[in-house]
Amino acid sequence: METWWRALTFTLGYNTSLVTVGAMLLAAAAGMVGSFVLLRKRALVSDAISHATLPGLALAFLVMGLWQGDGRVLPVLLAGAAGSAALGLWLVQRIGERTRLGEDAAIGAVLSTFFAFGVVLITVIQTLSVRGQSGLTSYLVGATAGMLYSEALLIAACALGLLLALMVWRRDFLLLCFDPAFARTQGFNTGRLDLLLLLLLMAVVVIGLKVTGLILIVALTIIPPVAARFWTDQPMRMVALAALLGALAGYLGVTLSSVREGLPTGPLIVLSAFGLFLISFLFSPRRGVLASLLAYQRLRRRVHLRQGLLALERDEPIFDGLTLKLLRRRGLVRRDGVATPAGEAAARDAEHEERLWALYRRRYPDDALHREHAGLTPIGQVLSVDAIMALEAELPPAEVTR
Amino acid sequence: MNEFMMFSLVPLTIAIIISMTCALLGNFLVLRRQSLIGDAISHVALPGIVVSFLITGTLASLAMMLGAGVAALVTVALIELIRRLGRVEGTAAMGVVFTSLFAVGVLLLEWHGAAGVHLDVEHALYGNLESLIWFEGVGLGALFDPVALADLPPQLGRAAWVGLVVVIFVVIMRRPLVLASFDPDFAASMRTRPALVDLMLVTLVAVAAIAAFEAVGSIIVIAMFICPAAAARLMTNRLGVQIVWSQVFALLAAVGGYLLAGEAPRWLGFDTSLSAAGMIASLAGLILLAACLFGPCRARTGAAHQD
Amino acid sequence: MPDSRLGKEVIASPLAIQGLTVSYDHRPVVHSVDFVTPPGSMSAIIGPNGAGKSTLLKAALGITRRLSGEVRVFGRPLDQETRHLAFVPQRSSVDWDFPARVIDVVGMGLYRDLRWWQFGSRQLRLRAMESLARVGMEGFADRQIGQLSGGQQQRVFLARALVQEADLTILDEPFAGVDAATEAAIIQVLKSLRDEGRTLLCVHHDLATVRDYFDHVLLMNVRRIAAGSVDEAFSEENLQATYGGRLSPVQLARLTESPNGRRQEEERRW
Repeated sequence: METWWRALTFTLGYNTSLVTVGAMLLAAAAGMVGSFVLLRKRALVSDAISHATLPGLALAFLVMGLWQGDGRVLPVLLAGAAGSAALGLWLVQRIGERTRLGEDAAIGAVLSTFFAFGVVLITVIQTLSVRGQSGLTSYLVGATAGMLYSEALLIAACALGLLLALMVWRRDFLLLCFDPAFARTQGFNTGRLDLLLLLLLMAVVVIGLKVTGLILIVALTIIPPVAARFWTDQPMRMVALAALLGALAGYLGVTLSSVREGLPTGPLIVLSAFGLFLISFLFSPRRGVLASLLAYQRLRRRVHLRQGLLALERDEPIFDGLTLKLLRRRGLVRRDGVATPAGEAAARDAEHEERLWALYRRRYPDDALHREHAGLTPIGQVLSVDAIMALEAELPPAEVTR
Repeated sequence: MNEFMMFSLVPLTIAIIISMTCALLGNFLVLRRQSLIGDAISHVALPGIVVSFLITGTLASLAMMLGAGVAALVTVALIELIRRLGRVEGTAAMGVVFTSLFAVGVLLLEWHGAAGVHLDVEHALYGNLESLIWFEGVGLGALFDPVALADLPPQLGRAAWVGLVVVIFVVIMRRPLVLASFDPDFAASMRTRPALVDLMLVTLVAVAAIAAFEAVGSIIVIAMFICPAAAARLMTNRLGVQIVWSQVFALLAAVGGYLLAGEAPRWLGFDTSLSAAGMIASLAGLILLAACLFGPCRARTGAAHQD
Repeated sequence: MPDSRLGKEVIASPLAIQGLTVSYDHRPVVHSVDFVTPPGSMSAIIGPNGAGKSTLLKAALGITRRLSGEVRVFGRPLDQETRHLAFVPQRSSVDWDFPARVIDVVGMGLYRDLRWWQFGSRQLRLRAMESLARVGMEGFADRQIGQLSGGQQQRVFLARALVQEADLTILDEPFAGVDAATEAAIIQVLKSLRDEGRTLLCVHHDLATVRDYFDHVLLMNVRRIAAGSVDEAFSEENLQATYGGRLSPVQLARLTESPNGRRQEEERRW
């Protein structure tokens, strides 16, 4: 607990602090780029990219190992990873464009085949006497413990650069996601912009390999944007919030992993992000599940109650179990389904209300379209007394409208 | 010959069964543009198995199967929940769920040091086909010797069972499956319960993924679901023919990949072998690549055009 | 047995909808709609975009979940019904790149008649071919569905519904994006179905053809605005209420005139 506190307050040593900052910057960049990719409805492209890094990583490791005896040279490994990721990305694009297969099949095929080939290369490496082989597995699930100062610095600097690049192009990307056709008419080269976005995504994935590992980096590009989406409908705010949530997840994850020896960083960052997502999913007042369920139940009861009352007024039989239950619970009908005096009065009111609303919709059709729930909300809460009086005066006698 | 019986017969048979089973289901995943559900489910087999190990303390196959099966169903339920209630796009919901569950699996594994008992991240990812040795398989006679047969690795029987169940499912449910894949609204109007069919398909994908998991690991199994079926789709415009092609490709990849992994290094003068599962999947990917380049029906024809 | 409290017209109707409400995003997209489809009629559901027409159909068929309301087929609750209804979804709702031939798609309408161990019989294939012939597509039976034009795809969908021999056929925008010849062919098939005493219910977009094609209409915009025979319900006032004043008076006058009046006017213009 105490170690965690020290990590949280950046007093656990310079190296740890640098790693923490680096992870936060990286996660923020991942959240930003992920938001654009999510809005473009291509969330899982990053899954293909991340798995496609493995053969490049292994190949770079192999080459460096045979040449220098130790394959653990971060810049070279990242360059190799980027190379094979780019190839994988290109294949996903081409398969989607040139064949009848959907992007889902292209993504799945590329990610699994590239990964498989990477595994084959790893078995090759295992047969050779190259030092630092165990270092390779840290790219699968991520390890920040024991990260070299230069490595941490490289990651932090690259993440910062990516973050700045995303800031610069944020408006163009937004336009691309929102309305590609319009963007084209405005003179944007959408093809190139799309490519740029995917390249930035790829850069984030490659740089993140060491931090979260190649299987989990995809989570950083998906979970924070999805969580951010629950809080706002405005795209730019969503992007900013995704960056913020990503950074928070990175902060929590890295500091948590310093609590105990051997705790993997990647899973902890991902689970921190998932925790933030869960909070958003459940409790967001706009789109959260609890709010939605409550609103749904309320609407359901109101609709059933209103329909029940109208049926009472029109002497129609009520078959629906929920309607009957609601009416009975409010003392509006007796057990045998016959209206009580209170029920008769409520039914008359409901019918009257319904006719007022109907008249209103007929008189002011455009206006009525803008009023949500027009008809279920008591008309007195929506219209002024004068307006209701005017409607009442126009209301034809009850029999004629039916 | 004896060497083949002991070291290769069982892994090769398992590879063939698993490849063909996965490819059979993969046809429907590819057609429904749901390939990535296979991706999601195979990733969560790891947490399922780790949790079942932590609860039961054994790596007995039944417990593992149950654990992974439960994890798969939980995954599907969570994806649907997030998609419907949170109105999150399907693939994004998938990404949220499977990465988080995978993270749980890795964390538990490292935390509890379950690594000591044959369960480690690498195996979960790469699989270990070569370890399935039939010690009693000392010659052709062993195939008829009940004592030797009893010593067959249990994974073989499991794979065979799963393959059988999948084939029976596809045969019995072929019409509802096609209907739910092509036109779910129409299927619902016919009362063929497309949602239930979807659930059954996903459950079987999970079962197949689990059977494949031990042998080939959780990532490579995705290649087996997608590559042969996707390649087959580019060969023909008839569903029946497509399924046959997918089986042929799966068989080709399994046999070819297995042999290549064992023999290729020897041709180059090394006395080792490569990851068979990785080789099988790589070969499946190459088959798909060839189909993408030369398949007779590779181009899209059916965009609904306006007159 | 139908409930004894039901009205006579509900029991006679192949699809009686009562108080049907469907919500999306805490908002009703279909609100408390009542509609009793008259048996043997050709009815159109009309309303602006986003008025919930397709949603109404899907909820009535049990494809979309409903918030409240009753749907009855000849007086019986919907869940017990499978045989009386045929559905023609929107053409754009499926992936036409699916590996299937025309005859395979039409055969889907017969799936209920087959147990799992049965293969298609010759008799069933004949039935499918008959339906195809009715929509003028018998020459395309072995064609890949991806190679069809939009109009041909729509005819295949119609043939798939015909093969079900249902009392009520429900069509979701059957004329969307089809050429004039196909539209004429489809309407002819639909009219011949009505002449056999079957009922048709269509979501329809083209206000100009309502009078020519249909005998009953349901005008809706989230709620029911009006319903009844074309002569009664397809009036200027109801259209105005449905489209919220988005139709110009000239348009309205042209639409709601009786066909004879319009013909005279056209002759005058020539």
